[in-house]
Formats: sequence, structure tokens, C-alpha cells
Amino acid sequence: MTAYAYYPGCSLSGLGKPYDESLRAVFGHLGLGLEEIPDWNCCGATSYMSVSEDKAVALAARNLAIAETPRRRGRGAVRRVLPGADQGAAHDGRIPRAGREGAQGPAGGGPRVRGPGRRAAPARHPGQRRGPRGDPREGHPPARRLPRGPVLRLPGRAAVRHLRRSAPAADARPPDGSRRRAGRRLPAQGPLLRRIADGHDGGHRRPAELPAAEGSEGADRPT
Amino acid sequence: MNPAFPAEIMAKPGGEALRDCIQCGTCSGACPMSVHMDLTPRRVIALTRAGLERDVLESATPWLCASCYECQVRCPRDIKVTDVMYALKRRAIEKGTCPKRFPIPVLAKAFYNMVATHGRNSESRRAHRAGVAHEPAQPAEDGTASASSC
Repeated sequence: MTAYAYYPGCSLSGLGKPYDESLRAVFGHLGLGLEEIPDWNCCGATSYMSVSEDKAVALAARNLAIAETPRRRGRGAVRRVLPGADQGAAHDGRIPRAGREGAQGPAGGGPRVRGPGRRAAPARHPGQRRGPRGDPREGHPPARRLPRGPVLRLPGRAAVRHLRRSAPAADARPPDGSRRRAGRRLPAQGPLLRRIADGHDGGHRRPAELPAAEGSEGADRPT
Repeated sequence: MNPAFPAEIMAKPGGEALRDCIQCGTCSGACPMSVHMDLTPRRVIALTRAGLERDVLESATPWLCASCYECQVRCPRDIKVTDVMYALKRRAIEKGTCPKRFPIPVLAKAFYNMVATHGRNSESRRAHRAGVAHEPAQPAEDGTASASSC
């Protein structure tokens, strides 16, 4: 299973907690692992950068050093670093900037940072739980796969193409003058399919690879 | 007026572009917060270049900056406007001249102190600290707060 190193930041551990939880659920459903990097610190954006720039870069560089330190070897190694995973509000491009400015190391003027090393760091604040390897964790439940069950079955691309081709001409209106198309309708499987059958494309733009349906360029298609 | 002020703000590499400002006003037009500012970004750049330090550092403009980077992306002279705002904020804290009756500098200092102590920032803790230091919308004027304004 591919595992990604994950940096939530203060935002996704604080006010952005719903985002963190939905992210973990989606990754679990996709079968991807999400490993929170141990002992991460503030990213040093916005409010912090308004007070001290050098320390802000050092904060981001430390996060990078922790994320790049291989914590396991062999089959369980965390292979990839997902730099965009810290979707918190204060991200602000701090971590890529630290990578550019701090990449030279101490000799090049960059900050001197080290990862946590082999021994796990002690707990920094109350409520910090330890995982099975002694890594301090924030107390989140581990990512888990959602049980396979009845899920909303969205129409595949072929089905959507079929619906568009079989739609009547754009100017064909039912006698009552409504905008609903009097074309073939699939049995009602749910509100989404009903809206697609009505000609409403769900608010999405038409992808380039879908062939345009004949005669129904949809000049009056509701968007 | 401080003739050395522009040079201090332009100290970072790439900061010399501040001299090339043509005062077109694209930064103010793109800024989502400009309607709430007393001095718009264009005026702040002009005042900074002219060395009128006190007017700039006492304005709320750098503190209202949302760091959306719209100005920096759109500037026709490639001036790093957002980075100038950060430099102005750091300068204001250094000199102790922040706008009066303004909670944002207090918030920034509380944030900084909390990261120095805990490494992270718990938003409920920050709200508590900033809240007990002063009334939510009125910063303390007597300086008794622990996260006191500069």
C-alpha cells in the first residue's frame, strides 16, 4: 500500500478538523495510507512571518527535514512526501520556499535542522498519543477502509454520452412550455440521474473528450 | 521622514524593484481588502519609497493584508508587494509603532509566543490568550496584557 507523509498543520488540527477527517476517510477509501509526520511544528506562515522571517523559514525547514527522514526501511517505508497535503489556511507557500532558501544547509546560509532521529521525540503537549512504534501522534484514529456497501452509483461516461445523444433538439419544448426536455428518461435512480436526464449537466463544464450531441448544442442549456 | 527607510524595506534580494513602481494602482485594484484599508497598497508603496515611515507604520494596511498575493502576481513591475507588507509588519513590531486600537498585531505576537512555547498553535488557546489580554475588539491601552500590543 502506498503511504504518503502527511502534514496537517495547526489549521487541520484545529478549526479545519472536518477537512482532516474527510481527507483521511477519502484516503482510506482509495486504499492509500496517510502517515502524519511525527513531531511536526507550526509552518511559520502569515502571523508568524509578520514577526520574524528567519525563524519562519527555520520552522518550515524543520518540517521538511522530518518529512524527508525515512522512518522505516524496506517494505513499510513511507515512499512519498505529499507537500500539498497541508491544506491549512496558513500554508501560504512556506514549505516550498523553505526548500529553496534552506536547501543549501548551514554552509549555504540555510538553517541547521535535524529530523527526529531514531528515537521518538517526547510528548510535547498533553493529549498527544503514541502510536505502536512510539511515534507521538495527535490522537487521530488511523486511516481505515470504509466497508463496501451500497454506494451511490454514478453513471459512467458511456451512460452520460448515451443520454446526451438521445436528448431531443435544443428547441424542442414540451407543450407546457417548461424547460424540461421531453426525451428518453432513465428510471428514476436518484436525484442526480434525474437532473442529467433533464439535460442539466450537473453544473460541470462539458469535458473536451465527450462528443457533442447532434443538434443539441444547448444554447439554452441551464447551467 | 526617514531617508534610510526605503533601503531597509528593500533589503531583501529582489526588493530593489520597489524603485520601479509606476503607481499604476493594479495592486490596489486587485487587493480584496483595499476597501477596508485607510491607505491602499499603491499609497503605501509610494509613501515607503518617499521615506514617510511614520505614516506607513501606523497605518492598518499591512496588518489587513490577507496574503492572497494577487498584487504580487499582477504587478507590471514585478514588485513583491506582499513581501513588502510582511517587511513593514516586522518593522512596525521592531519599532513598536503599530496602529492604535487594533487587535491584529496583538494576535501576531500571541501567535509567535505560543509557537515559541509549544511548537504548534492551538487556535482555542490563541483565542483564549488574545481574549483575556483585552476585549475582543478593543486592544488594551494600558499595556498590562501578557500579549500586549507593541
